[in-house]
Amino acid sequence: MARPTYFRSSRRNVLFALGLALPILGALPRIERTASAAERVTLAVFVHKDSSLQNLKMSELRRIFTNADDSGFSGQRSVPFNHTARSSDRVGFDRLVLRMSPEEVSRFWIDRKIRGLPGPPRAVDSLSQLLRLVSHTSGGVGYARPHQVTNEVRVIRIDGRLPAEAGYPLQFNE
Amino acid sequence: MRTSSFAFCAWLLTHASVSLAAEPPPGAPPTLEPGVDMGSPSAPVAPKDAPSGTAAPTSANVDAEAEAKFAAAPEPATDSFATEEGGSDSDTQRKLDLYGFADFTYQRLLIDKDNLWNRTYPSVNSFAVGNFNLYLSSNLGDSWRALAEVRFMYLPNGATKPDAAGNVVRTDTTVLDYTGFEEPIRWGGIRIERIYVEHEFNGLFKLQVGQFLTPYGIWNVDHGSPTIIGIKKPFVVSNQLFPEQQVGLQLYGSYFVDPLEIGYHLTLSNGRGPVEYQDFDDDKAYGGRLYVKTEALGSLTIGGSFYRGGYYDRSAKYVVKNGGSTVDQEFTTISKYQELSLGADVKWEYKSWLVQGEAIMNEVNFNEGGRPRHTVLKPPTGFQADYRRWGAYGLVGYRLPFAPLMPYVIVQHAYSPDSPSTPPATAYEVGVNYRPTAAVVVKLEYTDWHFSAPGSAGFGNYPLRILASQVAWAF
Repeated sequence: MARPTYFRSSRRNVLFALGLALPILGALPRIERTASAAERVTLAVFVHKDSSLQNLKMSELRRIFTNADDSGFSGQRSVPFNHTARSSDRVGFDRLVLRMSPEEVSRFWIDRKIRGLPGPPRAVDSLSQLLRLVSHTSGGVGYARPHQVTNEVRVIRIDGRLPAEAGYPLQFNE
Repeated sequence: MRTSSFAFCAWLLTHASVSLAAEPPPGAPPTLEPGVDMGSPSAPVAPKDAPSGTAAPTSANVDAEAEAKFAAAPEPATDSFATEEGGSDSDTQRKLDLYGFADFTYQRLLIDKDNLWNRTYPSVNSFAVGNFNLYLSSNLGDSWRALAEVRFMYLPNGATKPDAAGNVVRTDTTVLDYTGFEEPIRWGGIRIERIYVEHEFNGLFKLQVGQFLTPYGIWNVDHGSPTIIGIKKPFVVSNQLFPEQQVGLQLYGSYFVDPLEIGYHLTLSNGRGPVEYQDFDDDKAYGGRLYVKTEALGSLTIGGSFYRGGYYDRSAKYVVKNGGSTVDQEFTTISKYQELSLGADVKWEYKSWLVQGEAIMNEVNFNEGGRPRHTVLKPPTGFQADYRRWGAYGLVGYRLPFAPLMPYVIVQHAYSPDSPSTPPATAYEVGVNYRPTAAVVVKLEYTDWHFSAPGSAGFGNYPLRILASQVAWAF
């Protein structure tokens, strides 16, 4: 039995639309890659000038910025200072270091506070203030783009690498 | 004259407020208000240890550009948890942090009308605000921190209790409100969930004194309805095989040896008892928890807990002694026992998966003369036997990648010989936990209970199926 004409034509339309859409969808990631490759962001982690800290593993950095206390017997605790929530560097840092999206970060801190644990690191909304806080706090740890870092603080290695070295882990596409 | 008085008052107020402000502890970083620029930092130069390839600023306007970038950052989320980021130990201002959570639940029993559970299960087919918990947290400076959590309740209004004749007596808190036209209002209660002050000596030794949640397992510490996955606590947790809270001391700490975090909790408290602030027999309870956590493969925590303590309840009566010259009190033991609780727990978060489980055991041995009578409604009545109760639950959840939705399954089993009317029970639960924003959680859960014996009251002869929904939010 022959199918109605409108059915055949609508099927053709769907196939046509799919045929049109698939190459576009397939091309999207390439377009995104091309665009983002030009905006590769590197984040340098810096500490108080007199800090003995020279290198941090990513796992250690993650623990510092989740307020885990690894001070051991010394009691010398790292004091992280963060960027404001949802600023691009903060989002990139959280994705790389904490392996969390902004929503996951919010969930993480809400759950932690309900458990009665201390809240998130202090977020600072000005770069000069961030640098000043780290430079005045023994144990202070912050991050910024390398060209934003001043001689008030000292950049440290992450996983044994400095920001300009190949394989430096704190890089993301903005 | 008037102007100078005004100026003097302003000066006085300003200085008064400065003097009232908390002094930062020695060595503390300067307390800066967010958004207030402390002035441009010194002329930026490349850091000494920076890599050679790190571009050093070449002009003074680099800092301005950077500041502009910070300023141009989108406004943060509006929930208090996400934006209030000054509560860490790094913030030494002595300010009070207020936050909390609440939940609203509706549950329905999917059983026949003549089923016994329709008349005995609490809050059936009703809307209910269950928890309204307020946290008060303050960083007191110099490694001191305080936390209090209180729960506001409608209770004791509506609470029921059977009397000796089997009548169910309901508490009614209705009073006439003198602030109006003496219209009837009902008062509720406040429950102190925890309140303590904590001092951090170092990462290995932190001491809490006050009332704290017993550090065992996962659920008891997760505690808040937005944080826990399901709607109701597993029976083995709500049945308090470990006491939910204790009043006393808690020492805890952790040590990180990459990739392992090893942590402990030790507690010394009044233990379980009829009154939180009084230990009738000076028999202190002790307990602890040891856990190992690693993030080498997702986040895996394995822990074990124990608790050992005594329980003593008594009645008192004034008596006249020494020929009428002395009034003394005489005590009669109502119940007295020693108990041991053991627990094991595991929690594994891997990518979008969550797997957690707890197994808990509680053993009670009554002292001589400390065995209470059974509180049962039908014979045979007698004295309470020593007992060992235990239970376990397992939860598996998966957070979907395209929506903040976590379907989950819970299987639990509980065996409570201390309560003859509660038969051994196994429950199968399926549910979804939807978190549209970080601070709001919507849950829907279906529970099917199966009983392997009727129990002394016959509850086990009747099926129990519950459909529950809940909205929980943090504020």
